[in-house]
Amino acid sequence: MRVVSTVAALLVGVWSPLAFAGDDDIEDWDLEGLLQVVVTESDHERTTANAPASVTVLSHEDIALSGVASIPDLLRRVPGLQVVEVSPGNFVVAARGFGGLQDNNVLVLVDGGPMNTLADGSVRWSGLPMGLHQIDRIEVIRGPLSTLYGANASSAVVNIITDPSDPRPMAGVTFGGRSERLFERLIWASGGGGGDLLSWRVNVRGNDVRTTSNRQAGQRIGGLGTDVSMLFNPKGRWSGSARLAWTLDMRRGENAVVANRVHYVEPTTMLTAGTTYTVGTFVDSLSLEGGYVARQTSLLGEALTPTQDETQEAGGHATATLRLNLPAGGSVIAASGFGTDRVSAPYLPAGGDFFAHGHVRGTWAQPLGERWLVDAGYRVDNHVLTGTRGSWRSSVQLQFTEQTLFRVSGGSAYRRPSWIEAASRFRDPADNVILLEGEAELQPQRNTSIEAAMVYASSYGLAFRPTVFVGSFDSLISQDSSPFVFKSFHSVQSERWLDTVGVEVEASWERDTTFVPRMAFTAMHIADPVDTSQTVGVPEQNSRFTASASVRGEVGRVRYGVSADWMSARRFDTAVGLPVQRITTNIPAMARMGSEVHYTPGRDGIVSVGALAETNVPSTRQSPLPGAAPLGTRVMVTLMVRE
Amino acid sequence: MKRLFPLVVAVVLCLAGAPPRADVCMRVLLRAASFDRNLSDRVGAEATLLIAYNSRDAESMETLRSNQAERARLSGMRLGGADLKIVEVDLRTMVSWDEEIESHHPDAVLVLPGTDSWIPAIAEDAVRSGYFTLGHGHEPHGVAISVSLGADARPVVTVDRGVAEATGMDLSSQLLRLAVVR
Repeated sequence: MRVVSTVAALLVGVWSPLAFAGDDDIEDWDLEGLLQVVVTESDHERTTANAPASVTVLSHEDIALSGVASIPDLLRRVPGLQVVEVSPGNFVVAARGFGGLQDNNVLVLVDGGPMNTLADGSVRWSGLPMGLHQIDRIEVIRGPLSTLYGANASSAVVNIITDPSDPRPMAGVTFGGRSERLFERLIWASGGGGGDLLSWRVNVRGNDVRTTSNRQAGQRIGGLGTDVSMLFNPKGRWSGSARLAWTLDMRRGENAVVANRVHYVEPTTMLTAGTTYTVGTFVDSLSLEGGYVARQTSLLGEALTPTQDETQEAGGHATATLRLNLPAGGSVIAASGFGTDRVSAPYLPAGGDFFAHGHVRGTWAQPLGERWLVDAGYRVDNHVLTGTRGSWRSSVQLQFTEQTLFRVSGGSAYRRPSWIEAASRFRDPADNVILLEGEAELQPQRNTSIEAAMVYASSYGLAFRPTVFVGSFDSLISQDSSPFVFKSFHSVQSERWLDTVGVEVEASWERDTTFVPRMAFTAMHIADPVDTSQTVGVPEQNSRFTASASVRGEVGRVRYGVSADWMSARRFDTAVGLPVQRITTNIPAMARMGSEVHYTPGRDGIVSVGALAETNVPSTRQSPLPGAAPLGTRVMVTLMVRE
Repeated sequence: MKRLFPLVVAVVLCLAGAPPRADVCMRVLLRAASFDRNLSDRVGAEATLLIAYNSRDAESMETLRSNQAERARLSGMRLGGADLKIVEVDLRTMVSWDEEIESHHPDAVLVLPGTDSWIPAIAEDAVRSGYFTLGHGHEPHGVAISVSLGADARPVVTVDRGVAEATGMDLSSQLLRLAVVR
């Protein structure tokens, strides 16, 4: 009966609201996307085929016709990524078994700006300053990338690239239900205006997840975001851009995961600006770039945990980059930057922590003859939490035939402990009791991995990319802390040279736009650490298989998409909240299926309807959290219209 | 399932033998042309793209046929702030190039494969008449921007900077960074 209900749920399908953006004005098209150039992976413009690391690009069409309702759901179809919804709307995303405290395993960027919080490094996926319908593409790079993005890009980088100049109004509503009597609604609308030089955008969204049996269990999330962008691209050698984004997230938590009957108000301000001066032939260009992020979480109510209390954090940085063109097609990028961070929270020492940090990095790419290509990069970061530490990455590629390329890449990068992980002194803000005291001696979590990949790309649009990877993890070590909160905060360092081994396979076929199939498969085994209950930031699960398949296309005025993914894990451990609660769940299998149809009745308008269904086979309920993973059956329906 | 397998294989082989992604080349070309900073000043109420082909050349006709759906989709979209209008001219049967230019007043001319012998004259006329030139499917010399498909089916943009400047284009560095510049 369970199988029957599962199949029935899969067949029901869901509808999700996404717009097919920007097609009426040719200047809105993303040329980098059309040329399949990856902007995240490398200083040196590369495509998914010849990038020196494993890259998956989800195009705007892939996203718009995916049939899913959230970005983490979309990431399930990226090989090597592990996505678990620990409670409705709260996700943990990790890559290739590299785990950490809460959701701080992967560096998440929106248009190059980091979304991970300074305090605990987590990503609030529901609070990202845009909806799926406003994303141009998502680039996911797997493996250590700290030579480009710093200490926290140790396992993967997810770069979400939006189109801030798309002002067209659109609106949608999603509603549905899950097992365990959970009901959820999502309502959103967006619009904007402006021109090429200056444009603005406004988003409003509301999300409500609650049980139908007990209205006190659940959470409401509301958000308001504004985004003002200015592109500066005059005639001549100068070009540049500036962007100011402001978001306001409001959450009413009635969920044990977050807190009990509390309201949060969280405004975030992001300012980024950059300019480039094109020089000439050998010295290609000089760029200056800076950014500032400020976020404050205010609590209106009663919290269960001190970490969710009022938190203020702000960080600014500036970077100078010099680009040189070498003979025979090589290039060198040299960059240096500095920044400051400040985190203030009731559980930290009075006045908060204020730290300066800096880095120097260089990358080199050089073709050797007609067939070989070599990449190398090194970066040194200095931060008071971790001292001076280096990261490296290198790659060798052989263009074996016109259509076949082999690559071997390796790298080593570390994840800087978050303030919560590194704090040497905690106090309970309610009664001012010291919970943890002492000087922590930190050794950051490090990921050293090697991968071998083949890329086959035919002239008829068929692409096939298998990758084999092995990795070794050094766990986060924090010693000499008084074990009050973290009873076993100390960790062990892996003594094995091999902690994880896996295979990723991607295949796609884009002959034309009428029928575009793609699939992804991952099989991974992670060596069980000595004792997961004694460690923080160790690999969290010991085996996993994921598979996804999708087809999208367009026929006349109708665009369609159908996708399905499947995941199986023998065991999954995750850490939630403070004090850390380890939740162990067994998920024998989890299957999802989504579909999406867009119809363009006129030149400008688009009507979208989508459906999504997911289920566990079978569902297990070992989690103490209401609505926490694994979820049972879920069915959602979405309607969307765009001008 | 075993009975369906040959059918599935046959369908896959038929699809695999179809011409490669001409629609992508069209999109790339027009998007690349939109990086011309003088484009909005150049076009009027309509942005006219004239596609020049050779009806006696099999590759030219195959490219034209494979672009048919994409051309219909592109007509009416906006390029340089004006509505895009696409017209086709058979170089083999036309009375004269000057008459075609006088008749259509193109802002851009796209030459398909099989038209190499006409390209020098078109390039010369482009400077005189004030339109810019695009090339599709190969890398013809004498056009400002051309797109070809690499062995991995990825479009490659080639910019002839001299021709582009001679026809009044001022191409953004955003395009030049992504293109092969001659």
